[in-house]
Amino acid sequence: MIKIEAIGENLRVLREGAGYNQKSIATFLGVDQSLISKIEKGERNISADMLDKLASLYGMTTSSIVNDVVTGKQLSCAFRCSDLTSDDMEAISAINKIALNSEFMTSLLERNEA
Amino acid sequence: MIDKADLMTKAIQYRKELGEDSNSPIDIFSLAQNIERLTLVHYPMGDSISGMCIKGKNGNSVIAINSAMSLGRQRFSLAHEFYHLRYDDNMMSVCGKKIGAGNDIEKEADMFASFFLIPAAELESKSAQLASKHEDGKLSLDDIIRLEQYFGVSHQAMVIRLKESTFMHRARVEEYLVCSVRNRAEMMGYSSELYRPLPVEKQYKTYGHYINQADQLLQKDLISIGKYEELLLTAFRNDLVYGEEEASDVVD
Repeated sequence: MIKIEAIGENLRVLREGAGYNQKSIATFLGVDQSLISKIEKGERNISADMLDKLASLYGMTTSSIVNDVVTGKQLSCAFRCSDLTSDDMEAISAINKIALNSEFMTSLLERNEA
Repeated sequence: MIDKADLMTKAIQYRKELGEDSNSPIDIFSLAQNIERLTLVHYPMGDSISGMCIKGKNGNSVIAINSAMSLGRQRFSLAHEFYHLRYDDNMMSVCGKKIGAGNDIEKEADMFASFFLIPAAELESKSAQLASKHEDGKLSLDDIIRLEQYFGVSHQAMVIRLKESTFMHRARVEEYLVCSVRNRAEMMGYSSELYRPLPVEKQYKTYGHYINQADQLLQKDLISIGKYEELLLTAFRNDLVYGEEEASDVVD
């Protein structure tokens, strides 16, 4: 599979796994829904900035979205994620970013001890 | 099917694991600081989310509480997230504001939170003592305020918990649920702290493991000062980067 298709497929799996629809992702990123659709089909490249924002939203590193084959995350949401507003999604991203940083710091500390 | 007795046992069991007895009111925010590898984030999360729990690899975990809710509600929310942290297999949970709503895990976490902050035996004896002062043997609104102040929970959390109690006026539950009690609590001599959110300048803050990790990395020279500051700023600790504007510490 060509790389941009693999990334698009990963983004689709993550989005569906978390229960968001394309429309709410488009609003969150401030782009048109058709762009999200094209990115997921591998017809368009995603910008680094958008990839960063989505990685934080899903609580994944950008490198694993780009390089790995991801599976839907075990996310337990009290409501349908498609009902969340962009502000809610910003909040979720901000907290995920802290969790990702914490993982990053753990890996640095462990590498130092090894 | 939600097993109430099982949740009650889990609440007591977790209190004991954290070094608390099974009856007393607890300072849950300071308790959270004793949980190893836990990062606690205060963040104003809008009208629908009450909190989040993210369990990472290596036992790292992050709990975030919506700091725009009243302090009493935040304490309840933290106990709710404790349930996800300790007893839920999901790696990430986003929790709603409405108590007793959502899927079974959410309902279980709410019930756990209630038992965790308001131990059943203690509630029973306190309620009996207060209700005995009235002819009808039921709790008055003032009594409910006394109970929520004693256990440190929001008014709604207290009323929802008392719904099934024999000391509760069943017909008044709905009325009690929606009434604002802040003024009444103040008239009774209590601080209104429980019913108010954190001051705006404290609504964004991160405490615990994360801050300690960043400090360790800096001490061991594994990251630059610039990276250290970036990590702190992402976690809303501008105060640690730019210094506090408030008055200096008092050592006493």
